Amino acid sequence: MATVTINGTSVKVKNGTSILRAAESVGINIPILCFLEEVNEVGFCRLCVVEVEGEQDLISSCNTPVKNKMRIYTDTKRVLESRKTSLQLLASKHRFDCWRCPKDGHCEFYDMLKQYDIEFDEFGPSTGRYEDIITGLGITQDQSKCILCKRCVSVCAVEVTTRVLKFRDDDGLNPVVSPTVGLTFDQAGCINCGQCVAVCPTGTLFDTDHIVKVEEMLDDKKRFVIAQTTPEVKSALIEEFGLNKELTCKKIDEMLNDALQQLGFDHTLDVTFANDLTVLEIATELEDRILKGIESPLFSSVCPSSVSYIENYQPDHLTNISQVKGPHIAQGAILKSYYNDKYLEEDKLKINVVSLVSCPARKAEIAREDLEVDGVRDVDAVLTIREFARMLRKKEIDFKSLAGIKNESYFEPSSGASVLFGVSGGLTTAIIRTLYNILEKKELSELDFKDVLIKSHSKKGSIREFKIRMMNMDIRFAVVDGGASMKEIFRILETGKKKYHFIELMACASGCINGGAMPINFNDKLNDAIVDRANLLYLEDTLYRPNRKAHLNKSVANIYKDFFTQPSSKQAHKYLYRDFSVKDIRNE
Amino acid sequence: MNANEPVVNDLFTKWILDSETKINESELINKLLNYIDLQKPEICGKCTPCRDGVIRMETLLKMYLDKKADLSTLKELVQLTANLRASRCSVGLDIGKNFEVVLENNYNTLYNPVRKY
Repeated sequence: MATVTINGTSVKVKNGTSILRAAESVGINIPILCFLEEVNEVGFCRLCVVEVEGEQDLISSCNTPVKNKMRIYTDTKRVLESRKTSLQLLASKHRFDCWRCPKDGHCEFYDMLKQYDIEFDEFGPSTGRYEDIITGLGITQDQSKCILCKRCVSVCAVEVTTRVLKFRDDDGLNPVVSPTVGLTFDQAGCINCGQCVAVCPTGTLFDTDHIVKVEEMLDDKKRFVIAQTTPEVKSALIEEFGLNKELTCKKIDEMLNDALQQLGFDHTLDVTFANDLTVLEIATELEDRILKGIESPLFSSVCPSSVSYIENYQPDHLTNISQVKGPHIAQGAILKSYYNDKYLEEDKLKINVVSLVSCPARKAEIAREDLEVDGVRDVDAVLTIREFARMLRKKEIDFKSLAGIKNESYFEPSSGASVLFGVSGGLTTAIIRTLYNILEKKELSELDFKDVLIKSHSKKGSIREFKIRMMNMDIRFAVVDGGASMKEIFRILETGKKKYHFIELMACASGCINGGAMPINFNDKLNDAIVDRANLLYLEDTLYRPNRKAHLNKSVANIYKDFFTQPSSKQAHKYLYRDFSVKDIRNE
Repeated sequence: MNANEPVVNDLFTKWILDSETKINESELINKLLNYIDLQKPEICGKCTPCRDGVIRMETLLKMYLDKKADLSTLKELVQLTANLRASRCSVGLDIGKNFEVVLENNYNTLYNPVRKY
């Protein structure tokens, strides 16, 4: 233990504790802009500097461990002046267009400038360090706003492990953060998980805009525009609009319908129907592999980032990815065919499907060539929660005060399993419940499985294993979330020491509830927020859905009776299945 | 670099050891600009005070040469010099320390052209 004095207050902390954490333990907050615990402790921004007695220079508190008897001052004139000057320097290389910035009120840099009352008389507001805009199907980078904090680079390397974004400092005075120079994010091997967007303290990295596209669809009265939403979006809306945490998914769903209709959408529904359908198809795919004795595991394809990860970085496993489309894509195909023919009776070429989701990877996903049926695209646009919030503000719709309108969907209520898709382990839980029925021809009574669903959030993700006895054999599952864990599971598979029948891959730690386009939560608040988001979905499964198994969804049974005949049929393959290919990337 | 220019260390040793040595304004500014030029390749570009601060200091010194400097120019120069003490490595820290010596021993040389009264 070390005893240190911070601004006159004595505190005992463990050896090795950083000055920043020691100060926090006595309620003293030190500003940070580049720091991310265990991910980016590089001390680039120099805003967390403090004075230490006996030291000539100012010391960064985020990466300096305390020493016994250290006397630390965090608020001297010298420290405050230094912070102000550093902020002025950063501001002088940042382009300010805050009123139309995609960060939209969640800018750490703006908050800091405001907190320190930064003036521009001396330095002058700038046009930005660089003018380039690096495009991508899911993520875009506006380099005129980059403050070179290196958070995105570290997250891409440590958490996601793809190392697409790099800090290029060949010329020390003009460093730049970018994917492979001259290429788009997708060409450079980006999996579009959006974790870099979530940690960016400015509006440098953002979800590629689809608002313009959606507004055009809504303005064209000849078009019939359908909005479909994923379950995790509801948990995000609580945070985004400061709603009461006690609200149920059903109530939020009604408010969401209200808002979407006011925006001009002609029809709204949930993707949970397709979640149930997907479970049945994947379980059938898995049954087929188990019966054939195929040893290699089946990888889930629900998370588009994990699919890109395999295509870009693990091409040897390409043949083992489940060929079933992601739920929002599958539902898009159904909406434009079966659903339209049976209920809507619109001209299917005039139907546009817009998904409201929690990650930018789905923006990239809808552009894939294989996701269309007879030349009709399955999904036409993808809005993230932040884009949705911006559209509401533009139309002066106050989400919090909406009364709500009952869901219009013609589908029967979906299962409890279907709402779990947004949480890591949710897909596996849903598949186990249905696979048991398929293989054993009877219903499983225990529906909650130990350690399959997440209980707490870990930045680096986790690998969790579960086995269950079916057909007199152990069926082994692995749930993998987070880029670092995905890399680890492929390493484990290479050693051949472990065998699984099914592996659920989620590129973001804890799953879609921590997606790159979920509401921004700074630092320590994120863990609690993610647990709250997960609990909302768990409650929906355990308390509010009478049916908790995907195969018992009545609308799913109807669509097989009317349209697909049976899972994995020729018709099902036409609408619900897809292909994969090795992508030509250059990650340098 | 001009072959007749003294090497950096000689220049600063002279200033540090002999605070009585006075240099005229343009000679001082040129020497400082030359010093910054020599230090530029050493700057790694990682921390704010050094990466952006030194470039700004260069701009401010050029304002002296262009006769565009005023009191706020000098104030900003002092501010940026002090902020270099927050640098991440010895490159920025050394530039800061050397500028502190210059400001201490030759403040009047920089103050006279911008004084108002």
